Parts: sequence; structure tokens; C-alpha cells
Amino acid sequence: MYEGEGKKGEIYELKAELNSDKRDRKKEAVKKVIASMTVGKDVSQLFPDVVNCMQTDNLELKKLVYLYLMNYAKTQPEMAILAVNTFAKDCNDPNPLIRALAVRTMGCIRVDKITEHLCEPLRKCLKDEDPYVRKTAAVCVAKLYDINQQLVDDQGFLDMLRDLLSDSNPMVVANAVAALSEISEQSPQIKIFDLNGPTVNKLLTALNECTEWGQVFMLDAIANYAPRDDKEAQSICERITPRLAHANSAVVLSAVKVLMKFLELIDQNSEFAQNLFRKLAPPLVTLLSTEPEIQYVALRNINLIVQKRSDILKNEMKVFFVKYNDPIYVKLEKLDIMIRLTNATNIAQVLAELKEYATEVDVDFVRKAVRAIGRCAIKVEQAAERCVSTLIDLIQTKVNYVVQEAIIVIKDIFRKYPNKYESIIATLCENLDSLDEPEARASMIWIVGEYAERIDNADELLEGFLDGFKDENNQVQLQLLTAIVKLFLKKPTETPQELVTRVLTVVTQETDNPDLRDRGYIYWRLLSTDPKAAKEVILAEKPLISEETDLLEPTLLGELICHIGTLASVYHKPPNTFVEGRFMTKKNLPLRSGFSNNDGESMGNGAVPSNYQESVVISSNVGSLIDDFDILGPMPNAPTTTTDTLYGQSQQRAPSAIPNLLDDELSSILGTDINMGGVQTTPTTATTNTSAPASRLTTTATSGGNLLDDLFGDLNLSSGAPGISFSSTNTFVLPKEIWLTAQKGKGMEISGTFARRNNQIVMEMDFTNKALQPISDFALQINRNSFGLIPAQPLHVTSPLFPNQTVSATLALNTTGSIAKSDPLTNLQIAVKNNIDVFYFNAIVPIHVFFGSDGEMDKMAFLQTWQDIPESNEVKHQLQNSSNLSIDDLQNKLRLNNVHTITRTTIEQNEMLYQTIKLTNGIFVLIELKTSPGNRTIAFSLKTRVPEIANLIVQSYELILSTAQGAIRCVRYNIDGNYCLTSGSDRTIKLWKPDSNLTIKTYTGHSQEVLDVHSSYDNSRLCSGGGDKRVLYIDVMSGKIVKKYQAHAGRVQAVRFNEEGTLIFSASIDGTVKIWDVKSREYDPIQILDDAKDSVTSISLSGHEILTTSLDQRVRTYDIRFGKLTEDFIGHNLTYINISHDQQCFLVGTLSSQLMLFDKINGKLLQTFVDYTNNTYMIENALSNDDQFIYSGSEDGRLICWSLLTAKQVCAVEHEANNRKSVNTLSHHPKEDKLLTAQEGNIYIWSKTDNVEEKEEIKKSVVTEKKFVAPKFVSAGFE
Amino acid sequence: MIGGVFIYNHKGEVLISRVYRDDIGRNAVDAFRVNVIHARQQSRFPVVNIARTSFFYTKRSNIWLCAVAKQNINAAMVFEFLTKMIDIMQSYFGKISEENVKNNFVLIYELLDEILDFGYPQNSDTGVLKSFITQQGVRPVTREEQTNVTSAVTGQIGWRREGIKYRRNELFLDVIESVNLLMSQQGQVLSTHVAGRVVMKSYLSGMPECKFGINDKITVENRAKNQTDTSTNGSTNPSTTTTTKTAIAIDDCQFHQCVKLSKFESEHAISFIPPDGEFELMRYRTTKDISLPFRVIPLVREIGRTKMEVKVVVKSNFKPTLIGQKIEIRIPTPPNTCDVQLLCMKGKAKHKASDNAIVWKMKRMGGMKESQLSAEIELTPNDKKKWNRPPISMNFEVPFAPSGFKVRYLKVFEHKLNYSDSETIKWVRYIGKSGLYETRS
Repeated sequence: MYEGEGKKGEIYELKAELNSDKRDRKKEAVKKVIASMTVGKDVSQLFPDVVNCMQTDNLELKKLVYLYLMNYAKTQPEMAILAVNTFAKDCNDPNPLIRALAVRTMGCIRVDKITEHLCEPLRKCLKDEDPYVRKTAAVCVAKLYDINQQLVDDQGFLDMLRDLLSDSNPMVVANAVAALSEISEQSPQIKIFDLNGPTVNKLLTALNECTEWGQVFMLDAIANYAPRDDKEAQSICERITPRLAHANSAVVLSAVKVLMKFLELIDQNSEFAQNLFRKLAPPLVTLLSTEPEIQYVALRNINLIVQKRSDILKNEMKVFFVKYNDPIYVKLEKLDIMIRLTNATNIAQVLAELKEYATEVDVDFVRKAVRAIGRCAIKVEQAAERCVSTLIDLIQTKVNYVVQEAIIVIKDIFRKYPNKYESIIATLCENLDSLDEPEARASMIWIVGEYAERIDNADELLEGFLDGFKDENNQVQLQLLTAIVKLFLKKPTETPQELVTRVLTVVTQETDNPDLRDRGYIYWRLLSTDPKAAKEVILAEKPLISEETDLLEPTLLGELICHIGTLASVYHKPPNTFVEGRFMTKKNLPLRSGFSNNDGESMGNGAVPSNYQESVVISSNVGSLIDDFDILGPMPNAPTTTTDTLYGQSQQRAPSAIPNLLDDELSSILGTDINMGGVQTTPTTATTNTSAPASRLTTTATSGGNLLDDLFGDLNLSSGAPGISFSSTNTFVLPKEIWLTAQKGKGMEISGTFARRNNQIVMEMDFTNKALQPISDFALQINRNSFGLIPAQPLHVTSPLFPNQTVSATLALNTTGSIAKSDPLTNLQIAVKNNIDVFYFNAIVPIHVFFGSDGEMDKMAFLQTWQDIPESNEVKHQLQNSSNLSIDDLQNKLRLNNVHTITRTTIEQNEMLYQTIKLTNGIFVLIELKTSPGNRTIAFSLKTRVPEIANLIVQSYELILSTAQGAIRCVRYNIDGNYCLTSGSDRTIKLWKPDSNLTIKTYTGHSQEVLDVHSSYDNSRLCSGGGDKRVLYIDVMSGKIVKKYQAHAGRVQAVRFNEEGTLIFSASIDGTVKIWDVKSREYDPIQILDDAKDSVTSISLSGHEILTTSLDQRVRTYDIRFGKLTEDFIGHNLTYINISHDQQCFLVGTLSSQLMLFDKINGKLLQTFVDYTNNTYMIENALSNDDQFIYSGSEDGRLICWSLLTAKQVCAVEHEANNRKSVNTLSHHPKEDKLLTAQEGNIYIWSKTDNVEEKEEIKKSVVTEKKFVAPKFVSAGFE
Repeated sequence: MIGGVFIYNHKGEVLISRVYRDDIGRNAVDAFRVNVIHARQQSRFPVVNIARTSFFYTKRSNIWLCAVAKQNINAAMVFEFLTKMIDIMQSYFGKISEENVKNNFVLIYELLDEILDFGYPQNSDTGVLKSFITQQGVRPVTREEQTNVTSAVTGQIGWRREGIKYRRNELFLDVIESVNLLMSQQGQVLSTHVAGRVVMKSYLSGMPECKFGINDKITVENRAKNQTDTSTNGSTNPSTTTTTKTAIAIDDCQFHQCVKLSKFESEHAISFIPPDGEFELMRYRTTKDISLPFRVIPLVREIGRTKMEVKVVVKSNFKPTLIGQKIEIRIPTPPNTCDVQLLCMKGKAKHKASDNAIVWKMKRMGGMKESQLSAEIELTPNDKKKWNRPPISMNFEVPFAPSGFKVRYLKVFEHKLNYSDSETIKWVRYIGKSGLYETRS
């Protein structure tokens, strides 16, 4: 078929055959056409004839025609239209193979006119019943995107593709992942493939059932996911580890990539991480028994992995020994890894091997082996001697390139171990003549120069080189020049002097190389003016060379680790160096600290925004910026005359820019010397070229100040999702105080506070614009301080900020910055920049945010440290236990703030607590607390090695003990009203006897705030749900968690028991209600009600009905008996539902400040209750037992009561005067006319006498000193 | 992803060229020819980057296989794919040769269309492909058959079709181990490992679920532990104590895609639904406690510049009742050898000048025996080039597993068709082979 070229009539003959009636001849003809096409012959004239053959039942012929079409359609677009009809027809063929074939081929025909016709068939095929067609269609979307992005966007194919991620067939999922990954790589600016927890979960499930290639696509996609926290990273790792045993090396490497990346997020010392490290080694070793090409890819990757984590393969040295038959590329790579793994224990083996390799034939390999021996010497000191003698042996072989290579490494050994091996110099000198490579010659000359005093004939040797000076390589010339000068300085005798003159003349007069000439002049001047100085300069001590000279630079290494398995990892180069033009995103290893805050915001694609590269490039300037800013601190002597001129430009505007926040001395310095504009001017550029700063200034001005944002890094912080919001409090947070008044901030007011959330120190700020024009371009910088606080990411404030608008911003802080003592210790100097100016102000950081979570200490260590710290450092104090906290509460409360209780004892009725605190800078504080019964003071004594902080700690204790523990999220009466349950943001549930203010029990087990709790009707069990997505089933008596359901994909909003206490209903913001059978052993729900289109906010049960409210503005009534669902569209976002006691009506709370009462049977709106505030939070409501009254909390701190019939407000009462904090939760007593409400950390009981409701306060963890006078009010409705 | 696949003959003529992506131009075909195949200096790496285009290639008996890409694609995957493609072609038409490629070019195009879509590898299981890509081009007739095919290509059990029936349910297990050894001339073991494969031929009806048990240390220990747990409840099993001794430590193992990896990870149980016919169930690697079947002791003396004396002793080191087969020892000789005098006690020895080696063959050799060969080699003195002595290599086959690997059980369950585990006929065979079995001389 390949023969018979060049015949004149060939095309003609083919044409005839193509139009033949006989099928076989037709097919043979098409085959011939394809054959010609393959060899590169132009057979495009046959287009119409070939397309004519398309209408056939013969699949093989069809495929051939399609192949032809793919090749030539582009050259003959008008003709290609002819094929459209057949494609459309084939897409409806009953045979799925043909449908798929048509879709597959259409996507490869890159003709615009055809593309338009592609959309309809493609849409159909994406929903085809046959998975084979769907998986083909998924890829076709990627093809289409490559041709016409706009079209894919417009037609909504991306959404359809995303839907395929949930397809039941794993291969469809795999292809959808592949297509989405590619598309999102092409357009990283749009978030096309937004990986989130549930999606990753889906992929992980599909992973088990996929083809090997599908597994690769999925693993590569998962590698781009940024886990929320270490727990998630860990669980993903666990599910991926089995992939390491896969036979396909690509699967293994991709799994390794995910693991290596996610390991960054996991505590390296944890058992899990260590275990994983152990599991990684065997699969990597196994890769070495595959095809040599795959071995090569594996070895290149192992090279990276070993550089990142050398201990993974530290015991596997032997597998990297070179085999005789290995291809050269495998050999070289193995050698490289061997050197990286060399250490004192295996050096003997390695050295024997290397010696063996040095006798091989391949020149490159031998050279590398010799060099490796030298590197071993530098790396392992104990072996240096052996290595040197091996090298000497090799030099004796006189093999030219071995000798040269040996001399190059010996030079390095000399530099590493000066004055140790110089005895071998003589041997080296013997080989002088055989050196013909510049590097070797230069090395030898360096040795001669360096040890000129020990080589008798050094002058002769150098003279020999000097004779052919002009023919030498540049490198050699430079070295020779220096060596001769060294010789002269060491032996200032006649010959050397003559040599020096000669060499200096040559280099200064006869050479064109500026480097050489300059060096010559410098030496000359040095020698002629000050020989002593010359000696100091030229014979100065050299810095020792480091062990690892050829390690990759860490950021590059990190990036390459993210590309394990890909070409980048093979080339050891970032992708943008070898991939063309496309918009490239740079990948980075995730950071362990602070990741919890950037929830897929900037790392959603594993890729950071494009400005990242920019920020890397100029990161050195950030340093100088900080330096500039440092002058603010206690360094008043910094400015010099040069800086004066340097910053001359900024002087004019500087004085006006300074708010009078800093003390006068500092501001005077600022006024004269400091560059205020946040403009980076590096002194070096300024000294060489005075016009440089000026141009810099203008560029920053035009680029709109955003530069500063870019400078500070790349991570943007998401600032809280709108809608129903709860603040989750980990440690206590002081209320925001005004840091910068509008007056000083030229209209910008900043108030803020510091907190520790998820073990990260954050700065929470409100920016208010009180000026008349919008403010934009915010940036923030912190001066050096005692604890090394620096922003972990740039400040992200929605800008512009319009007049009278307030936005909140949260900024995570690290404690890795440079440290300078500030006064007081916790003071922080902050600079905020916006488009108007730069403002400076001070803020005090409460010391408790520095309490680290890792401060626990062994008992013995505690005792030891306590004794070690001198008595004089002890600070004693009396703390007021004003709220009469029990010792448990005390301990709990302190624990939440990272004060760790080491031990607890009772001595003569006095309870003693021994506690430790570890500050982020590593300072330990040891504390003893003593409480005696009946005494409201706590004896406090403290020991630390740094007495300055003692007072701060005392203050923080006082603060912690006096503040409420956290907002109460939910209050509930039990079935008979004798007990009540509360839960709150302190992650606990408490059981109270409300009438006697008695806490009976505290239940723990949630890792985030508890949002709802319900007790079973027999009071034996509790169920609760919270922000941690869990539903807990708790035994009331023992407090044990009987069942823990990892129930939902989002926060659990409400939980209820059924009457028998056998089922738990849980509602979550993930839009589902799940029903759990507590008696069953299964941990899966027995039913999921997923009809809601948005978050489900509450549930109410009545007999056989389940009522739910949802933010999709509907009330859903599930009738269990009939299995019927009734939806009532309300038209408002619904927050809470209550069924009236006569079961006829339901009352719903809405986010539009109205309560609505509906008839349950026919859905008629009966009443609307208004005049309260409910726009943001979930405000609960209640009906009185006789259904006469309706109660609700309000966001302005009031409790409101309406008459049901008249819808008139009966009364509205404030909880506390002047406290307008929202009242979210309330519960009506099941029998009596009592109400339970909560505001912040206080719980209130309201009881209704005939005409009066009383309020009384339950002691909770609260409490301020003042006693509440229960406000009374007369209720008009009771008359 | 993969932008295109090319196949060339040794002269650099294109036999197959299939381009999947627009970014790969026609000139890519020539670029590879000019820069790699016709390059003056042989390229030293299996991946080359020419003008921002990466070429991945491998060579099989004079045929160049090359994949091109312009993106930063998964390199491991590309090479795995090329290997897989070679496997597929071999199973369709045998040896990869210019002749075969030319004769089957239509088939190859058809395969390439199926296994790569827009450069993404798709299902490449030979069994499945053969079910619908046939050289006859016959389409499946019934609708049912069509869905069978498509569900096989995309399905969860892509490697097995429904409705297989055999009169006799039979299975064969071959444990094939290759022993790799590198020994210094002093007789010190530098590195050794066993690469084992368990190859299964299954002729089973229906959708049988199999459970495979081996004497892997972890499994055995788990079992022993479980049993001691139960033994505290009263029952004891004396057999476990004996099995613990013979357990081996497997460094790493890999499974055919039919094995449920998650189950292996959690319970260390190897369970799977096997493909029909022959397949490689698992691969493993061990490095500890390997019994080396043979030992080669070389003695090389150079007498002057023109003469060498070589003496090689081979010792077999296994049970005397067993017999090793196909023993072949290759003793390299310098390229400037002009004459060799050979004397051996057993088998036949020959100097092969073309291979620069003495090849000593013995058909069989019993356990615990010893044999010797001595050779006098005369050299032509004028050759200046240094001779780096390549290692002495050895080939053999022995009827046991040098790692100590044992199949403990293979249970077959088929719930729908009523045949029980005891009715299936099972055959197990152990073969120990030489991998790279080298002794430096």
C-alpha cells in the first residue's frame, strides 16, 4: 500500500475506485488514500469522493472516512459542510458506538461552520443514556472549548460538564474531570473547575472503580485541591494511599504527588505523617523495575522527592546502584540520587560502587562518578580521607578525563578542609601537562596559587601557563592572574615580581575582556598603594563551601513537587519555561499555617492568581520597604545625608501625611526623612542614578497603588459570607475599639480587635468611610514588635469603600516577623495605606492571643521548671472569682484560651490547679491557682523566666475570668419543663435546673459551636448538632456519646427526636434533612429529604408530619403516613417554624422582619406579626401553651409578645437596658407560662404572672458584677 | 495532553501519524526525524524538547514509537501509554515490525482512535478492545450486544463480560519470580531482590469472586493475632505457629486493576473478580531472606599483555531433590580476544566472538552441586583501549520460589451459578528465573 508512488494517474485511479459500486473496492481505495495521507502526500482533491463514502453501514469504512475528514476538513471548509448531515444522523444512530464515533470526530473538525452544528448533537450526547457516549461527549466539550470558548460558555456546556462529575459511571466522571481540568488551565482567570470538599469526595469515591487513566486524571485534579485543614488533608491522604499499590506507574506517581503536597499540611511529627513517609518508599523503589523510560521519569521525580524529604528513601541506597545494562540516562540519574542519599553509615558501600563506576567506558558517566566521589568527601567528613585516596588512585590511572575531573573536585575538597590534604599537591602537579579542559586548568592554577608557599616550583608552573596566556579560556586567565598575584604576595622574590609585572601588563594592555582588565587594574592599584591591604584582600580567608551545591532552590523545588509525574518534574524546570504562550498559573506547595482561612479562595485551583509571579520577582523590595518602615521604630540615628537627598522627592508631601499618632520624637524623624508614599526606593538604584526614584514614583502613581497589595503577597482573605451569620469564637475576643478616628484618618475610621481563631492570630477590623469620597486601595503593614507579628497575607478590603459604608476585614497574622521590643510589650504599630494617605496608629494586642495550643507540659517537666525558676521571678496576685465559677468551669474556660491544666489536686479542701501557657515565641509561663471553698478569691501565683510579661498574664486571667464564655446559641426546655438545655459557641451543651440556677452536667464532643440540642421525650438521651457538621447522640446520665454521625456536608441547623426517641431528624445548610435510626448499627441515614433547594433552617415535628423551612422560601410538609410532600411558597427567606399546639397552624419566622401564621391544612395566611427586627439571624419564635400569644426574640435585644388573634404587640421588653445585642433563641415552658431566652452569654427566665412578666437571671458562666433589676411590665393583653 | 502519536521505521519514514491536537503541526513529524532519528549523536534521554515541543519516544526492534505534546503533561502517563500501546499491538498482530505495522495500519488507526481521545488515554484493556475492534469490521448485531460492549468499555468491571460459561471450571496460577543479584568479585552480595509475578489463567463461569491468600508476613501475623484472640476464648489452632515461620516480608506489591485496592489496604485481603483467560494478578518485590539458587565464583588473571586466564566455578544452592534448568553463564571477554582455549567439566562452552563472550550452557544441574570452567584467552596486543570488565551474567530456571513465596489459598465464590470452591480445579506452579544475575569479575 505504501508502494507505487509517483504514478501520474494515481489520484485519478483512486477517484474511480472511490466511486465504484463495489464495497470492497471502495474500502481498499479509502485505505490507499489514508496510506498516502500518512506519508504526507496531498490527497485533498479527493475530498468529495471520500465524503461520499461516509454514508455506509460499515463501521471500519466509516472510521477511515472520518480520519480523512479530520485531516482535511480544515483545508476544505466549504466541502466539510457536506459531512454535517451525516454527523447529525449518526448522532441519532441506535448503535452507541456510532453515536460516540460521530461526536468524537465532529469535535476534531475545526471548521467554524461545523462547530455551530455541533452544539445540538453534543447537548444530546452529554445526556445520552449510554455511558460510552457520555464519556466521549465530555471530552468533546474540551475540544469545542479549544476551538471556540465563547460558544461553550454561551451554550452552558460547562455546567453540563460539571453535572457529569456526579455521573454514576466512573469513566464518565474521569473524562469530565480531564476536560474540566484542561479547560480551567486554559482560562484560569475564570473559576471553571472549582474543587470543593464534596466534589473531591465524589472523585475519591469514583477513583476506586476507574480505569488506570481515569485514576491519573482524578489524582492530578485532586492534587490541585486545597484542603480546608489538616484533618481533611489527612482523610484524603488515607483514601489515596491504596493507589500506591497500583501497577500503573503514572497512578503511583500522581498519588505520590497528592501525598507529598498534602503532607505539607499535616504535622510532620504526627504518627500519621511518619507512617505515610514509610509507606511512600516501597512504591517508589518498585518503579525502578519498570521499563527504562518509565524508570527515568521515576528517577527524576525521586530526585525531587529526596531533595524535599531525604529520609523517605534513606535506607534504600542499594536500589540505586547502577546496573551494567541500564541505559545511560538511568545511570546518570541513579548516580545523582546516590550522592543525595550518601551519609556516614553507607559511605563505604557507596564509595566502593563509585570506584567501580569510574572504570566504566561512558565518558559522561565516569566524569560524574569521579565528581560524585569528591562530593561524598565534602558531604561526609569521616570519609573524606578515603575519598581523597580513591581520587589519587584514579589520578594514577592517567586516563585523561578522569584526571581532569578529579582535579576539579579536589580543589573543592581543599576548600572544604583547608590544611588537611595538601600533601597530595605534588601528585597533582605531575599531571599538569595533561590538563586540557579550562575548568580543570583553572582548578589546578587555583591550587598552585593558593598553596604557592608549599610548592617549590610554583613560579615555574605558573610561568608555564603564562606563556600561552592569550590562548587560554577566560576562566583560566582570571584564575592565573589571581594565582600569580597570590604567589607574589606569599613569596615576594624576584621571579614572582617579574611574573606579576608581566601578567598585569598583559591583562591591562593587551586584553579586551573588561572583567580581566578591571581585576588587573584593581590588583595593580592595591599592590602599588598598600601592599598590606592587598594581602588582606587577596589572601583573605575563604568561606567554606557548603555540602550541597547543586540543590534546587526551595521555591522551585516546591513548585516542581506540585508537578510530580509531569514533564516539569522530568526537566526540573517550571512549566512556563518549556510550554508555549498559554496563560500559565504557578503552583505552590500549600502552607501549613494559616490555611484554614483561605478556604479555596485563592487556592481553589491550587494555583494562585497571576500576580503571584510578579510578587516573587519584587519580593526583595518588600524587604527594603519593611526596612524603611523600621525607621519608625527605635532607630532614630538611621538617616544620613545621602538618604536625605535620596528621599528628597517625598519630602514635600511627607509632613502633611503624618497623623499625630506617634510620639513627637518619631514623627519629627518621619517628617524629614521618611518616604511616606509606600513607594519602594532601594538605596542602590538611587546612588547610581538619581533619576531612578523619580520615575519609580510616577509608575506607582499610575499603576494605581495596587502594587502595594501585590507586594505583600498573594493570598486574599474571604471576608465572611453574607446571609445568616454566626460568629464562631474560639478564644474570647475583646470588643472592637476605635484605633483610628475619622478625624485623624481623614475620614477613614478603623476599629478593631485581635483574636485567635483556629489557632491563628487574626486582626479583625471594621473600616468605616466617614469622608465624602470613596476610599480604595487599602494596604496594611505592621512595624517590628515584641512578638514578631506580621501579616500572613495582604489586607483585603472590598474597595472602593463608599461614603458611610462600613466593611469588616480579617487579617491573619503570623509570628514569624522580625522582633523588636516595643513598649508596652503588647503594643503594635500599624500603618494603613489607602488612596488618600498613609496612617499610623498603635493598638494593644491582648496577650492571650499569643497563647499557643502546644503549651502542654509533662508533670515532671513542670515541677522541674517550677523549681528551676528563681523565687524572685514569682508573682502573686489575688483574682476575683466574681461569677463564682466552679473549678471545672474555671479549667474549661482557661483551656479554651489555650491555658493548659497540667494537674489538679486537693490540699486541705483547697483545690489547686497547675497550669502552663506557652507563648508563640516559646516562652513558658507556669501558674498555680488555689481556690478555697466559700471564698470568692483565687490565689494566683505565676513563674516565668521573663518577668516582664507577668503582669500581662495576670491581666489576661482577669479578663478571661470576667468575660462571658461565648454566646448561647440555643436554649431548650425538656419535655416537662423541669430542666433546660443550653448550648453555645463554647462547644458545650449544659443541663440546668432552671429554678435553682444549678448546672447539672456539661456535655462536650462538638468541635465547633453547638447550634441546636433536643432531649428525648423520656429524658434519657440528647441529640445535638453544630457547626462541625456532626450530629451527636448523647446519654444524659453518663454524658457519653453513644453515636456520632458525620452527618452533613454543612453546618447542622436543627435537630429533633421523634416521640419514641428512636429517630433523629437533622437539618443542615447543605439543603437536606437526614433521618437517623439510633437503634441501628449503621451510620448511614435511613432517609434523606433533599427536596430543599437551599439551606434547611428548622424542623418541627407533629405526629406524622415533618415541617421544614428553608432559605428557598418554602415550607415543606412531609406526611409520613402517605409519603406525601406539600410545598408552601412563602416568598420570604424562612428561619424558624413552630406548629401551634392545636396542630392546625404553623408559625414561621422570616428574614424580612415578619412572623407569619398559616393554616396548615390549606396554606392560607392567617396573620402577620410585625414591628420587630429580624434581617440577619435565625430568630426563634414560640407560641404560648394555649396558643393565645406569640413570642419572638428580636435583633435589637427585645423580647416581643403578640396576641395571636389581633396581631397586636402586647409588649416588647428589653433584656438589658442599653444592650441591643440580638436575642436569637427562646423556648416556651411546656406547661407553665414561662419563657427561656438568651442574650449573648446570659440566660433569662421570664415568667408571666397574671399581669406581669418577670425576668430573672440564671447564673451561667457569665457575669458582670452588677445585679439586674428585673424590669417589670404590665401586659395589656391580659386584662 | 498527548498531541499526537507517530510511528517510524528505522530509516525515519513515517508509518503512522495520528495528530490529536491543533497545536501539533505537520512539521513535528519531521522535527523528530531530524533531531532524534537522524541525529549524529544519539540522544541520551527518552524525552527531548525541540522548539517547545516535547517528544517521548521508545524503540522496539527498529520501530520508533513517539508521542508528542506541547503542554506540561503527565510524563509517566505518556510512557505507560506507549508501553500499553505496544502490548495492544502485539496482542493484535504479534511482533512489532515494519512489515506488521504496514499491514495493519488501518487497525492501528482504529485503535488509536479508540484508546486516545483528544490525547486522553481511554480504556486500553486488550480484552475489551478485542470485543469490538476486530479486523473484520463486523458490527455487533443485537442491541444487547452493543450495550454489553459499551458497558464493558466504561463499566466498573471493564475487564470481564457477563455470561461466560465453562464446562470445567479451572484455574492456573503461575508464581514466576526473577532473582536479581549483583555480587562483587569477592563474593559479597551488593544488592539482591526478587521481582515476582503471579500470573493467573482463569477459565471460570459467570462472575466469580476470588480470594487469594499468600504467606505475606503482615497477613499471616494478622491471622495469627486474630487466632490468638479467639484462642483465648477456648479454641487453639496449632497450624498457625508453623505458618508464621515461613512467612515472608513483601516490600511492595502491585495488583491488576481488578483487585480491590481499598480492601487490600484495610484488611490485607486480596479479593477480585478475575478477567477471563490469562492476566497478571499481582507483582511483588522482596529483598529479605532470598535464597540464591546459584553462586558464581570467578577468578581472572591477566598474564602479561597478551594472555588471560579465567576460571569460573558455579555452585548450586538448593535442595538436592530439585533440578535447575536452562543454565547459561556468559563470561565476557575483551574485544581484542584472538583465541580461547576452553575446558569445562559439565555442559558445553563456546566462545562467541560476535558477543565478546564465552557462553557456557548446561541443560540441567541438580541441587548442591558444583561445576567449573577454565579458559585461556589470548589477546592481540595492539588494542590500546582499556577494557572495563563487564560482569559475568547467568540465566537459569528453578522449580521453586527463591523468595519463599507461597500461595496459601485461592477461593472462588460464585453466587449465581451454583458451583462451589471445591469444584474448581486449581493448579499452582512455582518458577524461579534469573533476572539480572551478575557477578563482577
